[in-house]
Amino acid sequence: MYMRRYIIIAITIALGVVTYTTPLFLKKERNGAEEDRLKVENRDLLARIDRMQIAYEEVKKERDELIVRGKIFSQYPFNTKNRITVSVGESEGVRLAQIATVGEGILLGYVREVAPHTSVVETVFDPSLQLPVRIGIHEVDGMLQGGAEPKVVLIEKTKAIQVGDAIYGVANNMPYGLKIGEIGTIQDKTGNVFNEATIRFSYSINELREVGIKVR
Amino acid sequence: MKKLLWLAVGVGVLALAQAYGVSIQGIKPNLALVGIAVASLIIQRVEERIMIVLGAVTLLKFSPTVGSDLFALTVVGVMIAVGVRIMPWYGMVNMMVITSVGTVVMYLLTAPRLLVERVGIEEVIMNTAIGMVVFVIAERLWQNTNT
Repeated sequence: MYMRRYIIIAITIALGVVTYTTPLFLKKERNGAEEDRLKVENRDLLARIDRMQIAYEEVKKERDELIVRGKIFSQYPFNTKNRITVSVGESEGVRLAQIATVGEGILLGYVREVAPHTSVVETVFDPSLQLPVRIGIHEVDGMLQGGAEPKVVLIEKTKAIQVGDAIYGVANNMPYGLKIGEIGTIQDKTGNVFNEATIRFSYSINELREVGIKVR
Repeated sequence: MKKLLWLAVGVGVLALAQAYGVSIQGIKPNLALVGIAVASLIIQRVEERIMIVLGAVTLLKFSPTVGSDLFALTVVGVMIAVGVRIMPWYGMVNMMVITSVGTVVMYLLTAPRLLVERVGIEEVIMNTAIGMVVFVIAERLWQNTNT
């Protein structure tokens, strides 16, 4: 009986030590399907066309950008954050605050942790993420508010936006015009000076297998 | 021993499902917390309950470092494992109290702002409902089984 108790205590201590004092974690890489890959590629190409229409001069700088691609290992398991672990890290040139993308033209989030061969990306679905954005060809200002259902807030009611308008990031720490998604539904809240809008994403984060990180 | 092994496997499956991003209507239920609560109500020995907690935490570790949520799960899980025997009600009520209060405490420790938003409220309800279902199944399976 005592032996069993000692074994249980030893296993418990070993689990605690491995979890809290070592960088080891279970890499839960998902298998990718060809169809998923093609879907993402198609949406990425459409996003890049959108970006070219919005900011031609800025897009020309893409020639100098270098993107490393990484597989998605794990997804944050709680609702309070939305982060993913990817298979590229410091050794591949990844640094803190670099931009993560779906394909090359769709913004996914920012690098928040870097280890030698892995890194953690905070996605636009993270409740703490806020980002200035513009909407459509009239470049209406708004603010992306991350979360389980991200939305664009602070859209002036006097500015005309439509369902399907492209939403793109305009923060000064990212390439101008990276597409985020499209306007889903516009919520006109009576009494408010600003409108809100839901976002239609061209990908499902649960289906993503690979991300790009702009390392230059 | 057989009961402990099966419970460990059950909690492991729930924790892995959570780690792989299982979500219902965009909400990720805290399946590991549910598993820990059910196992704690069934397992007699405190050291075995704590082992189950750390096993679930290990499976949920998603990056090289331990985040605040995982630390909160460890704290809440150990509190459940240690305190479960002093709970005064019968099994199902205990289960509901553990999962709902456990979820609320986790949010208070990590992101209290989200507790009053849709995501927090729905997770509390979802965890409690899933907990009740899993508890009924586990109780039926093990009501006649000894350690």
